[in-house]
Amino acid sequence: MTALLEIEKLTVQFGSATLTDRILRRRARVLRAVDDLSLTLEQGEALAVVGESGCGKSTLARAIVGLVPIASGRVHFDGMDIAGGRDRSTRRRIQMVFQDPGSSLNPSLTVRNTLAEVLKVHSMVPADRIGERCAELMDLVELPPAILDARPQRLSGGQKQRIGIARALAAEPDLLIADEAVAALDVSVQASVLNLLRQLRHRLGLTLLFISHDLAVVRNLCDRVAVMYLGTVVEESNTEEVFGNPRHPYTRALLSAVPRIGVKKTSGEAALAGEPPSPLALPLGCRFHPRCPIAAEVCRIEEPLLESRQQHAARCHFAWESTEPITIGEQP
Amino acid sequence: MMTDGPSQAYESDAVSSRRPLPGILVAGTVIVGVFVLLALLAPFIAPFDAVEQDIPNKLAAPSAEHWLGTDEVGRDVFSRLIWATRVDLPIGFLAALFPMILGTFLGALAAYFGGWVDFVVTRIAEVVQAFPIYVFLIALIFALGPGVKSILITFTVVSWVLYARLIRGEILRIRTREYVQAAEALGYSHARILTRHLLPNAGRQTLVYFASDIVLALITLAALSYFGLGVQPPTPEWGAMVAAGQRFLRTQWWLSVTPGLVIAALGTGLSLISDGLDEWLKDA
Repeated sequence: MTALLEIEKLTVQFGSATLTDRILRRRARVLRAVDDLSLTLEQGEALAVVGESGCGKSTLARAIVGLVPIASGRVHFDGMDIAGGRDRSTRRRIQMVFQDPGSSLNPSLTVRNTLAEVLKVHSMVPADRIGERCAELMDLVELPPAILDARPQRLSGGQKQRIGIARALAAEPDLLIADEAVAALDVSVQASVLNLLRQLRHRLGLTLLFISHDLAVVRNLCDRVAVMYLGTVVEESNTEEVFGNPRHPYTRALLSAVPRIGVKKTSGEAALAGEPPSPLALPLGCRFHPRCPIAAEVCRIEEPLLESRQQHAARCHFAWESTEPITIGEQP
Repeated sequence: MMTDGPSQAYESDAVSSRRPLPGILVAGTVIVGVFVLLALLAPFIAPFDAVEQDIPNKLAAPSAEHWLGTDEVGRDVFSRLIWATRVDLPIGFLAALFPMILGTFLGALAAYFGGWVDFVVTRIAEVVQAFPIYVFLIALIFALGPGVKSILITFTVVSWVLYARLIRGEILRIRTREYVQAAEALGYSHARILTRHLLPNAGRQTLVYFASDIVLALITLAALSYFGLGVQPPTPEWGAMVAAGQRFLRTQWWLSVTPGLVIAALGTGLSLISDGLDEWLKDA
C-alpha cells in the first residue's frame, strides 16, 4: 500500500496579532484548532477521526480540502505538496461531504444543475453525456432520477445528503472526506447513508476520511481510527485495537460513553467530567491531564509524545505501563 | 414513519408546482403593466401631440375634446400625461437600475474578498451616506447641468450605497453556508461562485428594494423637475407638470392634481410589486 495522504506536524490557527495587539505589545489571541498533528492515509483505506465537538476535527477536514489556510506543517497528497495551495485539478481529487444537509445544497439550483456544474467545470464527461452521467450518479446514490429536476427545499434530509455525496462523487475524487456526514440525520436514515458510504467505498475504491463525534457510527465503516483531543491525535490504531484495547484514558472515556445494550453503567464510568479546556489556553504538560482519571505529577509537567507499539500509537505517559488491556470503571 | 432514499415515495407534484403568486404582486404587475402599455402605445392612444401649442385655447376646462383641459400654452393635458410615461418610466427604472448594478457589484466584491477591498468600499459608502441625500443630489446636478444624463449619473453616485450595504450583509451571511464551501472545494472560480452560488441567493432583498427604489427615484425626479433641475421643457414630465400647474391651483386645479395622481398610481403599483415579491420569495 502507498500513502495517498501524508500529514506531518500540521498546525491550523485562527486569529493573528491585530494592530492593537502590536501597539499594546500583548500576546495575540491565537486559536490553534489543529496543533502539531500527523496522520497518514493509505490508498483505499477508511480512516475515522473521532473526538468531541471543538477538538479540531472539522478544521482538519477543511484544511485538507483547502478551505482554511495552513499555518505550518506538511500535507502531501499523492506525492504533491498541497499545504501552500493547489491547482484546480488537484482540488477536484479531494472532495467533501458536509454536515448539514439543510445548507449543503444551493437552494436556487435544481439537483441536475448542481451535478451538471461539476461535470462541466471539470470536463468530466463530454457535453452530450452530461444528462446520462447525472442519471448514473443518482443511481449510484440510490435515488430515483425524478429527483434530478427538484430543488433542495423539496427534499428530505437523507435525500439531500445523498445528493451531497453525488456532487462529491461527480468530481470522481480519490479522497472523500465526510465531515459528520450523518450527524444531522435521523437514526434510521443514518444507517442507510452509512450503508451507502460503505458500499461506495468498496465499489469505487475510494479512500475515505470519516469524521465523527460518534464512535458507534465509525465501528463498522472504518479500518482505522484516530482519536483527536484539543487539536491533536491522542490515539491511533486499527479499529479493533482502538475499540478492544484502548490505551489512552480519553479513548477509554469516549468508549464508555457509547451506550451498550445489556451492560450496566457502573459509577466509575463517568470518567469524562467537565468540558475540554479552551484551546486558547492549553494546559501545560499533557493536554488531557485536567480531566484525566489517572493523571500523575509527570502529566502536569511533561507533554507526552505519540508513542507507537505494534501499529498502535497513543499520546499518554502511561499508555504502555502494562501490557494487560486496561479496563476502567469495572471495579468490583 | 421515517423513510428515506430509495424507498421513499416521491411527491412529484411538489417538484413541478411553484407556489401561487401573491395577489398584491399580481395587482402591482397589472398597474405597472398598464403604464408600460401606455408608454409603448402613446402615439396611438394620445389624442393630441405633447408639445404642440394652441395659445388661443389655453387653460381650457375639461371638455369632450380635451378630457383634462389644456395647460397655460394650450397643450392637451391628457395627451401630455400619456406622453410623459415615455419619459418618467424609463428614467425611474434606469435611475434605480444603475445604482443597483454598481452597488451590487461593489458590495459583492467587498463581502467576498474582504480585507482592503471591503475597507475601501465601506469607507466610500460611509462618506456618501454622511451627506444629506437631497443636498447632495441637487449640488451634483447643479454641477453637471440639468438633463437626463446628469440625473442618471447623480442617482447612480448617490444611491448605490444602499444596494452595496444590502448585498454585502447578505453575502457575509451566506458565504459560510456549506454549499459555498462545496463550490470552493470543487475548485470553482471566484466569478462562478459569486454569480451562481452567492448572488442568486443573496439578491432577494435587493430585488424587493429595487421595486420600491423606482418609486423613490420617480418622486425624486418629480421633485427635481419641480425645481427646474430635472427634465427640461417642453418635454412632458409629471413633476414638471405639477410645478407648471401650481400657479393655477385655485382656478385650474386639475393641471397639478392629475399628474400628481398619476405618480401616486404608478408608485402604488411598484410598492405592491415590492411587497408582493418580498412575500413570494420569502422562503424560496
